Amino acid sequence: MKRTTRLVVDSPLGVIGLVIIIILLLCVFLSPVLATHDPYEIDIPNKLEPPSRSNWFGTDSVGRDIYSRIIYGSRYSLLAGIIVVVIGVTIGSIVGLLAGYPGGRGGEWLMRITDIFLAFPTLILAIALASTLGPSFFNSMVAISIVYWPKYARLVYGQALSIKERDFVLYGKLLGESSFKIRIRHIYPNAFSALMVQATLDLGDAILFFAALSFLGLGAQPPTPDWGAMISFAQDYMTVSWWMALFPGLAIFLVVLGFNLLGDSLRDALDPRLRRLKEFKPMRFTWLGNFRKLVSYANKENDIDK
Amino acid sequence: MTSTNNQILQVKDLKLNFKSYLGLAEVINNVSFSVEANTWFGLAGESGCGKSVTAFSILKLLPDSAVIESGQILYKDQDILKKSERQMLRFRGQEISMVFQDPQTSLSPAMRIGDQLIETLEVHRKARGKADARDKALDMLSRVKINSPRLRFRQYPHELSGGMKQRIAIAIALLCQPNLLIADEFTTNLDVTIQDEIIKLVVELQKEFNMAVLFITHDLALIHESCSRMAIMYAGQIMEIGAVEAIFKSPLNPYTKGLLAAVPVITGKVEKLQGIGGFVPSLINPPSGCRFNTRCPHMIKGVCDRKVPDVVKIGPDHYVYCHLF
Amino acid sequence: MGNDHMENTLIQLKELKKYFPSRLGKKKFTRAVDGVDLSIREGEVLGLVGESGCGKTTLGNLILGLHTLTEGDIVFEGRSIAGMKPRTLKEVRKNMNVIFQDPFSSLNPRMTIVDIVKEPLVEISGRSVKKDVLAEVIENINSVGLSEEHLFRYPHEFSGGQRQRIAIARAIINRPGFIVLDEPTSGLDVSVQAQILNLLIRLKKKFNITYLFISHNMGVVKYICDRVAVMYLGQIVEVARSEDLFEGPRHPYTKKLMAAVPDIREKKIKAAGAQVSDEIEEDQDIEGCRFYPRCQHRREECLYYPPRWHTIGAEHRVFCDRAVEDS
Repeated sequence: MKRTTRLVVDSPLGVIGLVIIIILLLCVFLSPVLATHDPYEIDIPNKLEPPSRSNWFGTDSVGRDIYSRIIYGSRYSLLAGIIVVVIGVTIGSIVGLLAGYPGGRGGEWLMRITDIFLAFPTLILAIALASTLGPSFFNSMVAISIVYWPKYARLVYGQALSIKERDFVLYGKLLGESSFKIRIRHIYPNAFSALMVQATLDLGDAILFFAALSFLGLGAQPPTPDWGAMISFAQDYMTVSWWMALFPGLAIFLVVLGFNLLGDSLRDALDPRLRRLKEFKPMRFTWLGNFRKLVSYANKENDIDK
Repeated sequence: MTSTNNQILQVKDLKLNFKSYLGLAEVINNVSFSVEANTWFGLAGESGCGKSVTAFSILKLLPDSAVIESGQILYKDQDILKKSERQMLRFRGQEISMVFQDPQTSLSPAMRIGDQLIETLEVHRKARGKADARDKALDMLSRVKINSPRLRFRQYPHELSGGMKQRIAIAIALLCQPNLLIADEFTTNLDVTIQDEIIKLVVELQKEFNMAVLFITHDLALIHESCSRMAIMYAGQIMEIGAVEAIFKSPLNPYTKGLLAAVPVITGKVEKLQGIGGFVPSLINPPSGCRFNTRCPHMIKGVCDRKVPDVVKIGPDHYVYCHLF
Repeated sequence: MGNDHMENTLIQLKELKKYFPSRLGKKKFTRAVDGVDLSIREGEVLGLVGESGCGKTTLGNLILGLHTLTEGDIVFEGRSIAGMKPRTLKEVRKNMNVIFQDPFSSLNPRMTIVDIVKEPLVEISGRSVKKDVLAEVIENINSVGLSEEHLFRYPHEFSGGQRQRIAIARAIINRPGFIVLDEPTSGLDVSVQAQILNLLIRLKKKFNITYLFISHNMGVVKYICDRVAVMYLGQIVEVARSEDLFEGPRHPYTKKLMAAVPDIREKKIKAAGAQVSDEIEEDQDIEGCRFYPRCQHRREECLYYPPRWHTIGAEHRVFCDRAVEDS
């Protein structure tokens, strides 16, 4: 854990990603503090104003302050992203674990069914589902989750296949542990880090996905200050009031980028092969030097000189 | 080290570090030894002592994180460390060749055996055309005593057993008639009966090809069987070096003694095995002085943990690095 | 008849066979264990030697109940394991445990040492009262040379030798009468191996455990085993007391094995011709003796007639007809 933190922190791109996410979290939790206006407050006389001292990002077609809507919009985006990933990971893990251990014919069949879901183009399926369920914030999240879970099932299944060959699983079997217990105690915890990396990467993707659905009118409904919905409204005004589309778009872009950078650097940090031979960089944060001693003992078996 | 002049390889005061995110690992610390032409030299030690890294540094096959601090590696009086990568390309496989530990990954799974042999010949321009290359390759296959060489020529590596793959790896290594063969634990993954055959084979080939063999292994018994001279390494330092007979007969360094006392034998009476207490130290902040001092039963405080021991000559071909002498 | 049943037999293997469906698909089988008769006596260390592919690991797994056997029987403490239901098998298994070869894969990297070592207690005895379980874990951890402070760490913080000690602590915590050790020191440095072997001997004496010691390392087997069984291609070819086997091996394969082991005391005379390695195809149906292709003492009859068991000396039996003729 500590070593991972160290590695992420050492890579500049990872730091950028981390910073973006921190800013995002600040927006989410400190929205009332950071916003300058009420995101719902309509002010027709002030509509379509370009960015100015009073409205940092300008106003939209009904005079609402775009900056504040972006700040509050972060809540919806993040919430949607998290819920989608959580549901997807949960369902996917259950399916993957069931299929992966003890494996065999049943497991393969389960994965074939999963593959059927994967065969559909994700966006189209999500649109179809969302429109069927009816456009709403909640329904669009359900739709995306249904599209998402097969990916995690596949991932967990793959992990389970290799983990179950390890001796400690055999040992559990020998002790008479039930399949359920082996999945929970032995397989899942070891698949967890791979899952987390994927989930982090996907968080940005999920936010994008949700924004797309909102853009199409299927997600968050007006007057919710959702970024995707904001871009949707901005379509008609793009040529004259560019700020209406730009800032929500920029927000989505930055957030997705942030999660991708963070996820990538997490993946690199957790990759056992890359872990060993990374370049020695001068210590940026000297307080980290204290667990050098803690970890150096553990590190000796990493066969540095192999 | 010895006074003969036909030393094909001389490693002098080699110091090598690895950069890691936790710090600088001092992997090789003042290692010196020399290999005479047409002899077997054994480099022994347990895991993590740096013997494989030494081998890789001779062929400059180290990863980017490796930094050679100081020292020389002389091959026939040319300093390898000063050679450019371009020069090394010609060097590897032709002057000095290597056989690795894992036969499964030594060969490309996507190429037929014959093609891999021919490839080596073509790269080093040792054959005049395809037909000649094929002949030479087949010849080599029979010299490494593979059965049905013509059949094997067309097969893929996955169709062969571990022992056979290792023979192929040896064949590829010897195709260009190198003067030095580095064998890095090349029998460790094989069954003991196959290991026996492979060692016997290489003993024969060594004489036939007039080459020297640098044999890296943790198995002291194997060194005893095959090598004339040897060195024992621990945590990047040489502990003892000299003629195999001399060292086995009267081991001097406490580490050597400890190692020998830990090897179970199948002949003679069963004697109690002695382990060596303690753990191999991390090479990131290694112990100062003799790195074995943390575990040595004869450690002299103030000396062993301060100063790296100098080499001391004890016999005509027996040198030890230890403050007790 | 090839077994050596005696009064204090703990485990008896009778004509044990385990065939796996061959990877080649067709009706072929891989005969991992092909007719093994062996007895393991209470309190002894029985060595099972052989090279890769001989079936020794499969045999160990069969005894532990990890595979269903194809034919034959395993009798553990007088009870036949062969057709047992999982529930009863679990009862029997309470008295068994295992130590695997690879200390890096036999411990769950996500579990703390405490949880790893107490797993048998929790599963086998169904105990969960924290206090006394912890006390027992501490006691066993100490027996293997580690201390309390190691309890809440994770496996990756330990060296190979230490991990193997943890695996040993886990294997003895339920005070089993029988432990299968599958190459327990093969992945360790020789200096660490010596310590582990001595530890295993100490523990065996202290708790009166019977060991089935599977290994390909002859030196180690000689050091720790009382009796040794040599295995080749799924069959046992020789069984004897340790001293007898090493002083006078009789089966050609055993002799070949011994001759191939390098020694640090005496240099063996290196034969001039390095033989060609004969690799046997997996599904070759050999009518006679399986060792025929590599045997130095073979005769034409060996190809057609399977060998029989012969007893030479006290507790020394050989699965070869030529071996008894040549003396």
